[in-house]
Amino acid sequence: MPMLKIPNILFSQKSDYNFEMSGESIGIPPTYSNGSAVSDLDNDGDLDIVSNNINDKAQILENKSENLKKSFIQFNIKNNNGSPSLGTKIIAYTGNKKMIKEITGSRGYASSSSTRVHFGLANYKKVDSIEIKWINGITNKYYDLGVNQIHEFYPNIENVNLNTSNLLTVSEIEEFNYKHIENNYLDYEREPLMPERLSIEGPAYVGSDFNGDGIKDIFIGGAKLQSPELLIQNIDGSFKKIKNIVFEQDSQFEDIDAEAFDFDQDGDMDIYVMSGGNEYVDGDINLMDRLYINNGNGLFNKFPANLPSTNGGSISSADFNKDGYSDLFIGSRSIPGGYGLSPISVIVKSSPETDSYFEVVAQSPLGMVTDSKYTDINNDNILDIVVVGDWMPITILIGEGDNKFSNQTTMYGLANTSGFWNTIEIADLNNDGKKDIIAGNSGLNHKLKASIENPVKIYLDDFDENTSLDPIIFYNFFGEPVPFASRDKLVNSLPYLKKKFLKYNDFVKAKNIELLTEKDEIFETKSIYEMRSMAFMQNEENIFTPSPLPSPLQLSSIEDFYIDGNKIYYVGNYTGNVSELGPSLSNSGGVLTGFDGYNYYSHKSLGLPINYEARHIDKINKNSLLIIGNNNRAYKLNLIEN
Amino acid sequence: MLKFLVKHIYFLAIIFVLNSCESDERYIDKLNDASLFNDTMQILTDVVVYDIFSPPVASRVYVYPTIAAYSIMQKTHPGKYNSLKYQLTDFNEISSYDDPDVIPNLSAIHAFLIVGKALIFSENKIDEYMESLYDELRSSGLSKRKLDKSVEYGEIVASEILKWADDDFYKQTRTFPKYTIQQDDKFWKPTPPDYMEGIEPHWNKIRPMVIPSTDIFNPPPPLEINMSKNSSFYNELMEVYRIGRQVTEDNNDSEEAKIAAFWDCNPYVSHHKGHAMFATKKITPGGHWIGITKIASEISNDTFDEAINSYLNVSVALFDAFIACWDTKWNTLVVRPETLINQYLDDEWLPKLQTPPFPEYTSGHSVISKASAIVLTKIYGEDFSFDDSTEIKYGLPVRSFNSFEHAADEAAISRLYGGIHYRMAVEHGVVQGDKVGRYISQNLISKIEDIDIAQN
Repeated sequence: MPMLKIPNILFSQKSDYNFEMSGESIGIPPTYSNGSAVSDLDNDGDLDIVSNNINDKAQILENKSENLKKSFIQFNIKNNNGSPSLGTKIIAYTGNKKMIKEITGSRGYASSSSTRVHFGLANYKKVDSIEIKWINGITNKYYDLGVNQIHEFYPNIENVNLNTSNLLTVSEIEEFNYKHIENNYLDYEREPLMPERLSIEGPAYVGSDFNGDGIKDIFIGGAKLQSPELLIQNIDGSFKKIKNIVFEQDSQFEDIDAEAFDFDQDGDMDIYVMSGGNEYVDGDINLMDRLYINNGNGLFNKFPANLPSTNGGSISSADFNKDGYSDLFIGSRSIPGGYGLSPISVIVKSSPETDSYFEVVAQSPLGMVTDSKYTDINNDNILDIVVVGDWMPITILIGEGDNKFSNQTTMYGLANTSGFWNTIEIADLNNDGKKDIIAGNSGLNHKLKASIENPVKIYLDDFDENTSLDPIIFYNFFGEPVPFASRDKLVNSLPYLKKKFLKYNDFVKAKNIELLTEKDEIFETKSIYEMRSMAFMQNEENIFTPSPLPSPLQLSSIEDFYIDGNKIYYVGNYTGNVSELGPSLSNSGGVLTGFDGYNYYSHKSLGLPINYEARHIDKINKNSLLIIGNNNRAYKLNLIEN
Repeated sequence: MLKFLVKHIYFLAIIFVLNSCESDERYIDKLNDASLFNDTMQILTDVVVYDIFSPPVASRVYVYPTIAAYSIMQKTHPGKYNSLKYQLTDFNEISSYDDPDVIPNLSAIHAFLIVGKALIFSENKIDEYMESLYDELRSSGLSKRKLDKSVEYGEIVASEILKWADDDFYKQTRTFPKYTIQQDDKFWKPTPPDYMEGIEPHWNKIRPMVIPSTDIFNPPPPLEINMSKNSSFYNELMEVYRIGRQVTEDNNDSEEAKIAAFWDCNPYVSHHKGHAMFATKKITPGGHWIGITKIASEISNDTFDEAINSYLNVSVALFDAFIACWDTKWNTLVVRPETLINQYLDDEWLPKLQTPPFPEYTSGHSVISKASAIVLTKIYGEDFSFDDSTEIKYGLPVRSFNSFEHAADEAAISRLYGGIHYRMAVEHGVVQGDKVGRYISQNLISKIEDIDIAQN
């Protein structure tokens, strides 16, 4: 059997979610390992490693950290019959630190580690308290435990603490009677090189008072083959679905975004629904947006207009020319089949006196738009538009009056902010009278790392001239640019590369796009400089300075914000990443209190189900927030004053 | 003294001249020896194995180089062999040669290697063979001019053949969409251990050599999936299951197990040890029959041109048979026995052979072996017994056969023993292969005297 010995890798956490990689430098020798187990074999207070190696002896690595003279504490947590209490959790508190472990042995491949719990304690002299949450539900709490020793515990039914709630939740989560059902389209069959799917962007959501009773109702646009739904809220907070034939007739559309505005100026809110999806080609009738006119009671008719047929990204409305009619920003998401290329987005003024009702006043290939907001960003009394998306910066389109807009992204200091932006909110976070921007991105818990010095780059061209676009991504991997797609994946899409990279070893030489594809003039290149979700704080000179959101918000992608006074609610998670990136599922949502762009007072999780992929959060009444997820049910968060 | 030396030098010079006149001829024998072509074909096989081509694609790698060699050979023996124009789809007459220094056999070898090189990935292996062969010929008296002229003509023909090959739609199918798995139980699904993607779902778009369309010899539809006991389908499924269990119980020692292993011909068998996975390589079913062709040719003491003629007929039969078989596979999308057995009967059951990554009906081995056997029978006759040593290189023993059809029939049934096919795929596959083989043997007349034989 062929052998390749390379050292196993140890990642040390240096600070919150920041890890440092080491291997040979700390004494890990090259092996061809199959599984490993961890235990303090010599009982000296640090964890040693055993590794199982193919066609070789097993290996013990003795941890020499006892020389660092740091404290430790270890626990044997046992059932009454003396066996280790698998599944029991233990939480240790010392100083301001809280550490949690679960009793388990199973970690590596076909390997079992010691079930003795070990906590490293730096320079702490004691552990203030521990909580043991036994699997049968009882909790025991103990105080003042000595360090540098092993403690043993059995379940104590006499001294039981009843507070078993471990969720740092602010409120109750309850199920809401709506379920989004995604259709099964496999983007990667057509475009194997895309880094993420563009077919699971929905559902669309807009909350507005559709029946004129002063209470917010909701419209949720479904995926392909799911009819959009209109839910009217009653005064008691319950919702009732209103059947609309036009919605059912339009269930073949995949709804991406929705906007409520009074199109026909009859005093009620109409709905513009943006259609999208990655299945068709640009201009396909299945991508056409729709406009539904309200009769005042939540019953709609379809307005017979020829609206754009692109893969929709974001729709926003506002009356930017102050003529009494709501105008639109129609941001496009992508050119289907051509991931990476910028489709045309348009600014449209509403002209009911003309035959076309809408007139395009500006158009530009801004990028792969995901969100947009009308706002007067520079306080000059003319509405501007902030637009974000993938592979593009936070884009500022300044309204100059007279139906004119200019792209002043660079002037506002945002030129180098290209990211995978999903969502923005505008708010004055630090109360200095200047509007700031808070933007949701993919986060740091992601294989791709980006910075201005080492951006993630995408090269767009038809490298093998077979009339289909080949997006090739390069990213920085521990100091060196490497292609993101594996050699096998690239050869699959670009067969002419197979002879060039006959061996995987040859592929190592592909350190840039020219060496990889033999092409040096690329049709288009884009970069990502920022992966973190950010606040952009506007100063007196109208320049935005970036400030990253706190680290819990970098654990996953953020898909929506809702700002309520001094609380910023956020939701996220995203499973559309290609398998080499892995799904982003570490944080379905939370709330940040007292965030001024730099510091915050507290952060709590919303308590949504684990692995929930949330797309929207909105306040629907005084006491509740509504959270809509992709391919899942919706949830309502009842706010409890605390 | 000087006069004596001069006389002797003159005498010695004459001796040297005489000696080099004799060694001038050695290369001629080499170039007329059929074993040279057999060795060249073997190099191509070795690279096909090394580069891991799937069975249908391997058949393409074999056929075009062989056609290049045959075309040149035919130009040299126009009274003995027919041109391939009007016989192979869209084939154009190749250029002739007029320089007397062109040695056609050498050009044929060269054209074969150049076309082969274009179709494989590990070009250096072909280059090494070519270099060492030409060095040997040069030191056996081949003049530089003759080598250069022969190579030049070989290059011309190679590029003409490659240009014709380029239009067979292979290139376009490289980026066609992969097969998307369908959910119903009856549909083919990837199989363990590696659950590989289905291979060449668009192979029926490749331009065939002789058969007029890919589905002209379609077998009857397969049995519908039916898991109720005593349905025909269920009985066939149970047959595979029982045979598989029996083979395991007999500890792989039974005749069935040996037959299955002999005809495995899986170019990529994967092995898993813990996390590690590696693969072992061997010849494809097409490669096996190319090997049988070599054995038959050697037993019959074929001349250089006769050997090429045999390879031509077999490689063309293989090429068209794969196209016809793959058309059926990807149209019927029948699920492999292993998938249903694991799902409904016994999740630990393993077939003796690794199930290859494409749908079940019809059995590739059954189709292509029968087709090859028919054209080989036409050339070498019925009851041509031989010892099949093609698999020795891959760790398998020799097996003896009474005739090509005997070998083909064993190849077919081996797939049932191997636990990877239902009986229907084997039996109907053989019939399908028979029709393809007969059509080709009647419509590809390479040897001129075969016109009479073809009337049968």
